[in-house]
Amino acid sequence: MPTINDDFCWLKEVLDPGECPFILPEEEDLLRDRERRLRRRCIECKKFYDDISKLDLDENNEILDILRIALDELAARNREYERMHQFITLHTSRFEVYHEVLAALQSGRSLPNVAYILLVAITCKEGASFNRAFLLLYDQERDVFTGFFALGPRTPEEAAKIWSELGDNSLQDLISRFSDNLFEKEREKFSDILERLIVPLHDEVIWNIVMSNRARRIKNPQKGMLKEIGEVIGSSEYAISPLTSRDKPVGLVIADNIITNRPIDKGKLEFLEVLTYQGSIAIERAIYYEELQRNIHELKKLNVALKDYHETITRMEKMLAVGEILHQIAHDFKNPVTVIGGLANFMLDSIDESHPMYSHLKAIKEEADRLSQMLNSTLKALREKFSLEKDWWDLNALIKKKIDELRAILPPNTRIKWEIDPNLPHIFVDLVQIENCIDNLINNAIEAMPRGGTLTLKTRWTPPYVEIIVSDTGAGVKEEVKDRIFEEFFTTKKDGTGLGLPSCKKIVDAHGGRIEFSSEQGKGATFVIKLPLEGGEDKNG
Amino acid sequence: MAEERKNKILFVDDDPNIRLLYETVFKKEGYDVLLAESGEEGRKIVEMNPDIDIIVLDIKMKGESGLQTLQQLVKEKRKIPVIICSAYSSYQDDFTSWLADAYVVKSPDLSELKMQIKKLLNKKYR
Repeated sequence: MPTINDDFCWLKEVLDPGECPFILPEEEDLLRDRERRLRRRCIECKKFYDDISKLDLDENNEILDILRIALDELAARNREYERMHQFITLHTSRFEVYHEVLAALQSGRSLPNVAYILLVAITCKEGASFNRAFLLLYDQERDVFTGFFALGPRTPEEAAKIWSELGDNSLQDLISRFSDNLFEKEREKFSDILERLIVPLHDEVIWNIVMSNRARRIKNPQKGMLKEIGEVIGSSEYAISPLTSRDKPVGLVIADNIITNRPIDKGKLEFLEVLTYQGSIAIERAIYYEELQRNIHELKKLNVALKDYHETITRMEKMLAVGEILHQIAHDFKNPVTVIGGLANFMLDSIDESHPMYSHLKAIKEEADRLSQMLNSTLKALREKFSLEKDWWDLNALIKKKIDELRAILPPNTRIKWEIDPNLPHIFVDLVQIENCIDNLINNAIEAMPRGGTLTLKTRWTPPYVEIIVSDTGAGVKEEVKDRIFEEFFTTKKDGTGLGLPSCKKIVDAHGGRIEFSSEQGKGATFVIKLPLEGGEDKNG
Repeated sequence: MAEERKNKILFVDDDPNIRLLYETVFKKEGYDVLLAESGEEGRKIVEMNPDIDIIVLDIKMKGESGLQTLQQLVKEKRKIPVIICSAYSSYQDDFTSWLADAYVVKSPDLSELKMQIKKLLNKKYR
């Protein structure tokens, strides 16, 4: 066994310069301080461990002192190492979560989807692991943040249930669970809180939080908006983190641990801040996207309306042409009928009742008279079709009258329901024509329910339109004929003329309104007459 | 004198059978019947026969319409009463038709026309 000797540089109180190859010239102080030298250098030196492994420890107490220091240093280093390891592990996992959340946010399809992903990241175990999170979106018009979505359990019982159910689900699993249904369910669950979460941007405290663009931990707020928020969500401690994009407010995230009451630490707060930062970009993008979609939808609708309008004009032109042709035909018949009847009448005047041809001539004259009268009434009807007699009328009264009339004539098994809007204003229309039009729709509805059903009549004031709604529970309009029901001479009825709905449409068009209809095959049809208070050009005269 | 002279009526219509009808019926009624198949011809006849008592005018004709003929007659300051006799009732809304003294819608039953003619003649020779 080797004993203490001069070769044990680590045991010497003082070293000569150059005696230890690991001490640099400027570290002269280490030469004179054995303990510091030991902690800094010897503990890492191979010779130190080689020497110790060869020693008989009982021989010298001084060596035990040295060893105690060395072990102490080793333990300290180990602790430091552990701490660093934990730090690195935590940040590696956080980095992974950021990455996942970022990828998910970028592929989020809609605002609800993106909001859901963000709140999942804030509340899930792998994420910032808050118990609950609320997302508020900025409403530019009102200059306030309003509750949009929330995620998390509401009661400890629910928490136990949810957390045990979700226990093994990864962040990815949770994100992929999204559906519009799930979103609505969660939103509905928190609707009472979301409705009351209205946070004005220009509240000084809120303004500062938004401008600082940092997450803040709020504990026991005593006054102002922060206290109000705490009261609305029912928490005395919560985190609040602003969502901004290019210095513009986008929203706010509020998160708390209402179930576990775990204090909000700095790490979680930082995590929340990074997540909301990522979320704000995605949410802003989703808002723009939705706006774009809405605009596209509007344009499509306009396009359809334009197409409808075009079709209407084409049909009206067709109708006018038909009207003119009828007029022409009636006129062209008039002269021959006048001649036939006139001459028959003349001959009749010249002969006696006993003449063998008397009854024949009389028949000719009578038939000619009849034809002439028919032509007159056709021409009159055509004339009426093209002119309006308007005044201010109460359509509610008209519908009440219809209901009374219908009660008497409704077939058995057919029920009638009605809803009258008491706020319906009077309207400038040709009542006779509008009544014709409603009669037409009612007759169609009754005919659509040969085995009975429910006929519903409603009036509704949806400015700028007065609406009259006629629905039935019949077979509905077949998909393939939906485009054609307002076409002249188109009919699906065995003995229909194909003029009912087209003339309704003409009447309503002439009033500056329109007829809309919706139908689901097997579930009936609904026709809505929409009339402006005072519209359409007056075709009188 | 006036009793012996037959009242003279000019019928203007482009339909030959209508003209035949008028001729047949109104000759029998005791009138002196003149016929024209167009407005233009009608005006020429008026020029040559200033003693015409009444003109019965169709509206829709080939060439000049009855309303144009009527306007022309008014311009020429002809004081002869005019009855419009048309298959259409709608021309009653046309201001020009108001220049006429009566408006009759064509019908196999000629009693309305006969009555209007009598009424205007009574007015004239009252």
